[in-house]
Amino acid sequence: MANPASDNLFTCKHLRSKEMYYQADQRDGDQYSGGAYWCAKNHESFGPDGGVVERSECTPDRTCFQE
Amino acid sequence: MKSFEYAAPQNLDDAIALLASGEAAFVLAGGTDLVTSMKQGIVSPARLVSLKAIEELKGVDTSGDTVKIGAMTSLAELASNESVAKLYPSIVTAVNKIGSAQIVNMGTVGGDLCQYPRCWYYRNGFGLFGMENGQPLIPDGENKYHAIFGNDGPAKFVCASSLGPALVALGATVTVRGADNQPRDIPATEFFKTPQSPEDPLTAVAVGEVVTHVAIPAKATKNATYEIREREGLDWPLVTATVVYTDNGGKAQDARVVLGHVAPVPWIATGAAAALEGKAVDESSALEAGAAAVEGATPLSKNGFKVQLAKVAVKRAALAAAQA
Amino acid sequence: MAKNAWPAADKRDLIGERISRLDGPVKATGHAKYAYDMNRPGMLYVRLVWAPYGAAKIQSIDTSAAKAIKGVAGVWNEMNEGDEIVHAGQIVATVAATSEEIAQEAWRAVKVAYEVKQPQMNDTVLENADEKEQRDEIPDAATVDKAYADAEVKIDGHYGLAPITHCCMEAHGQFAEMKDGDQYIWPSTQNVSAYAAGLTDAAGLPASQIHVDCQYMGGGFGSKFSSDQWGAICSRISKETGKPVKLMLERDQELMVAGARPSAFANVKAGATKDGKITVFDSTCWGSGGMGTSRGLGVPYVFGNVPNIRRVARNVRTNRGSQRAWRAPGHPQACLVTMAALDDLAAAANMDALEFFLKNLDLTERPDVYREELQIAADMIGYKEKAHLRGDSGDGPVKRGLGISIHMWGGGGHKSECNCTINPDGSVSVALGTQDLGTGTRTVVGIVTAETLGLPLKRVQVNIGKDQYPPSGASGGSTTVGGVSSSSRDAATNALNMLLEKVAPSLGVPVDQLEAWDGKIQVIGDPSKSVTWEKACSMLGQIPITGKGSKPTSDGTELDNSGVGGVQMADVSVDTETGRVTINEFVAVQDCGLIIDLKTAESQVYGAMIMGVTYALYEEAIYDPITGRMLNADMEFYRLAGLADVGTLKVHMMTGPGYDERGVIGLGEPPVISPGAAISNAVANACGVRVPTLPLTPDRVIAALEQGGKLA
Ligand SMILES: Cc1cc2nc3c(=O)[nH]c(=O)nc-3n(C[C@H](O)[C@H](O)[C@H](O)COP(=O)(O)OP(=O)(O)OC[C@H]3O[C@@H](n4cnc5c(N)ncnc54)[C@H](O)[C@@H]3O)c2cc1C
Ligand code: SF4
Repeated sequence: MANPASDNLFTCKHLRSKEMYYQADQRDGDQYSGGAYWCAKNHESFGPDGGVVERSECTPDRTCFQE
Repeated sequence: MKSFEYAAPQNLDDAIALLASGEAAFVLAGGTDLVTSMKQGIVSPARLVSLKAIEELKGVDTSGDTVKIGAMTSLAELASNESVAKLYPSIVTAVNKIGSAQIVNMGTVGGDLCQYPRCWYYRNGFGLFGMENGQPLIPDGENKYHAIFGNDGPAKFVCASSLGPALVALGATVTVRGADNQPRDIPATEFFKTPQSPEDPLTAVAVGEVVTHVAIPAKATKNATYEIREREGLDWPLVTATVVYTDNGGKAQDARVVLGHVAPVPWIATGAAAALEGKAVDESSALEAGAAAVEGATPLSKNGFKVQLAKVAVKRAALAAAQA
Repeated sequence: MAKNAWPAADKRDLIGERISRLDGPVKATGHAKYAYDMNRPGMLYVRLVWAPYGAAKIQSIDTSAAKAIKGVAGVWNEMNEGDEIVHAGQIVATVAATSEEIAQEAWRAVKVAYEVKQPQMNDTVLENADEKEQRDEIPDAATVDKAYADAEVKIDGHYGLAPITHCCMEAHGQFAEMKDGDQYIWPSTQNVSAYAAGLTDAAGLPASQIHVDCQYMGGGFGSKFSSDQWGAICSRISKETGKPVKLMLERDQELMVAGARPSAFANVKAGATKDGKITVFDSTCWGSGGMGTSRGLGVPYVFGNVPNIRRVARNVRTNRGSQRAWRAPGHPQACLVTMAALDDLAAAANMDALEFFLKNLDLTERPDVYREELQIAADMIGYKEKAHLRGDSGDGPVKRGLGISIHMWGGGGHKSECNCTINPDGSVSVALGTQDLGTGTRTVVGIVTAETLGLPLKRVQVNIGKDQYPPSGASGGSTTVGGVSSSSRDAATNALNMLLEKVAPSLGVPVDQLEAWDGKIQVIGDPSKSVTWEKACSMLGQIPITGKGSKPTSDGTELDNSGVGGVQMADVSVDTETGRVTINEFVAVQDCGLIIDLKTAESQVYGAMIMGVTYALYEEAIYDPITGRMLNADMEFYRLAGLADVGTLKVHMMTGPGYDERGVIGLGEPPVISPGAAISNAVANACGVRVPTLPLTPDRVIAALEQGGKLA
């Protein structure tokens, strides 16, 4: 399924998904991840700022974002 | 779990003396419920008095006109006793359906009767009535396993005992002994209590008392228990029904119907018994008994399905009793 | 020169056979040491104080009483006054003590005051969805609407799956110990090679000074990729106190915070021609993965080429523990929604479900595979004899029915590196930083290495589970078997070729005419011109050789592949008086390319089917709507299927020409996708009504029967 989220290249260094641990091109895996991202700062599916953790959401405009 | 004293007396007198220290001293039987309850922090005994070494509390005595079952008889031993199997198929089913060798080998008759409710609000620390800041959680909460009868007071849990309904239906008597050392007989019908306040006891056993045995009339009856559970593996019943009657030339006499896991106590379904009384127990009278059993049920927001289950359990128990 | 390409069928001695797992005996006898089993003198036990509310603000944390208890080594605030709790189970404080009992006593003594708020727990209604979270795909609304309006047969259905947890037998957690300034960790993880990197801040050490060892682990299912907050706490306390520290989650917290599969609900309008050709699939899906997102579902699942598709997707944020990838993330949900809707469509068309599925296979990517698999599954379950139209299931309260579902998965191998060492004494070891989740990875690596070297399996020492070995990917996405079989084949082949170079002169033939077979190095196909393995290895002189392998392989040979299909059929009985569903028979037919170990492959499918029966019939995380507490955070009311509940299970793996030559493909996830749908469809077929939401518990079945006028 097409996913605009995977177009976002400027993701936060704390963003994690399981695909990152086994796929060469991490963005390929998004179709399977079912949205199961987590933030490495708190190991939750929401960030330190309370917002959701997602490739499309974890962008530089978040207060918690780190390059 | 808090630290506690442990005592393993060799006889009943010593046990009773050791229990006299008051509410903080608890009887330990098989421990299958008590130890869990201590770990969950819902009880914190200062002293455990184990009855394990007391021989006089063990075994099944079939010599008299009652079958006398020691409180420390394991559930497994109870169900495999020949006389029990012959006279009370309703008890055998109740035990066997527990479905776990570990629980029925460790768990005892006294422990089964005295165990705490399994209500998940209670077990999660919200108290017997499931309260948070003075607000009852159960009426608008997750109540699918809760009571559909006898739930007009603050108690919404169901009595956990599987033996209870069968013993009530079979007309059993529970004998206890306390500090005065005098045996006290309690009809099974009066053994279980619905608490009105959180401090009220759940059974007629007073602080410091020990259940010593249970006696069931050694009378030939037709009896059966039917249980409905969510799965075959170790679990709790959703609803059970025990039907007992004397076969009088193909007609039911002295019929008794008791539902389990539908109320804070085993629930005596007088209407259902009346529907069987004096009739041949067949599809049609069993169906009527089922319908009569659930008259006046007061299901909560999520347990209406248990009314259907109770109806079916009574019908199937009656038919099973007729075949017994 | 030995080649990387997999040997032809007649040159396989071990690959594809039914081989028992190497670690079966140590596991069965209790000798296998899990993280939980680690103990050291002077160690500390940690308990985590967690928030008992779904939504609250911390007013105060009083640790003074806990600190005063003798034997307490430390109490730490993990959150502070004023912090917001957004789901029950969040870690508020930590206690460490010299015994488990003292830790528990101290745990109880920590007093936290909360300002309790009303949590949002209800994910079943679309109205609770977050409007911002849109993932709609509406190619052309008017066309889809028209297709539905014009459809000769149509349904308008609702489907759903309650949230479940991972409920790993072994809870999450780790053991940590300091030694000579380095930290040693024994975690329960599906991610050995990358685990240490998550602990560097907590341990105050670079990843190179954190050493990870996980030989055995009791299940992860997608929930054990990260070292997690508790891992970090454990490492921090060990560093701070210098003591060995054990921190394993208690079962209640495990179920609340250590992994959940998001719920999913869908309204589906689907249509077909009257002879059963699907024309439109129009869905609105929502669900909740806690306070994060739950991605929309890829529906219609497998039948992706339905001509008119619309997807509206919404996310509901609830005050529950965060979702984690759960074995085939999103697929079981998409599968249920699709297969149930299509099965309803078949029933609406008054068609046999198998005929309907067969008729529409051209809308899938692999019609030939599914056709073959459907036919095999039908034979295995006796479809012809048992099948009937929906609800047409005879008298008596107990009704029997059949249900079908099909699924797909990727499963290409992950990156992996591997060393294969051959010693002059003839012994062989293979090392890679992968992990065995209980699936048989250790055995697979051994088989591939032994096969490559022409040795019996027991001659190969398999070293995995440590991050000192060459890195291998995390075990997720069903990528492990493809990755490790490629890298170990590559490593063993490279090692063998180094050996063949040494041996060739003595046999007087060029290296490319030698092979390793049956414990010998021989001229290809000619055992009379051979040397024994031991003799060959002695020609190495005094220095062992190590062949390096990887995925992608060193010579570019592709040993793995991607893309599998599977079919499952269930035969169930429904007691229409009590709402109880029982499984009679349940069959699975699955392809996964070249199978390395048929026995562990089949085990993988059996296990998935049992897990599938569990989420189809029993499993559900139940939360109190007022406090937000998970009420069944135990293994008593969080029900898993027992052996008596699963019925007769039958597995058929697709092998041979057409499958073997594709290479190795992962199997961890695919077989767990279909059970919910197959069982739900069987229940509908049996009792004549759709029970919309899993698990199919008596209350739900009775409600559906009552609504459909079918309650006996
Ligand atoms: C998962 C699970 C499923 C279960 N399913 C069922 C089921 O379906 N039906 C069912 O009935 N039970 C079921 N059980 C419960 C089990 O039957 C009880 O735990 C057991 O019967 C208790 O007996 P015990 O001897 O271990 O009691 P203990 O745990 O030792 O004691 C329980 C309580 O009884 C008191 N007590 C014990 N003996 C006496 C005595 N002689 N005099 C006074 N007080 C006494 C104790 O002080 C304590 O309060 C289940 C348990 C589990 C864990
Ligand atoms: S942007 Fe914020 S929530 Fe997202 S990964 Fe970074 S720190 Fe975490």
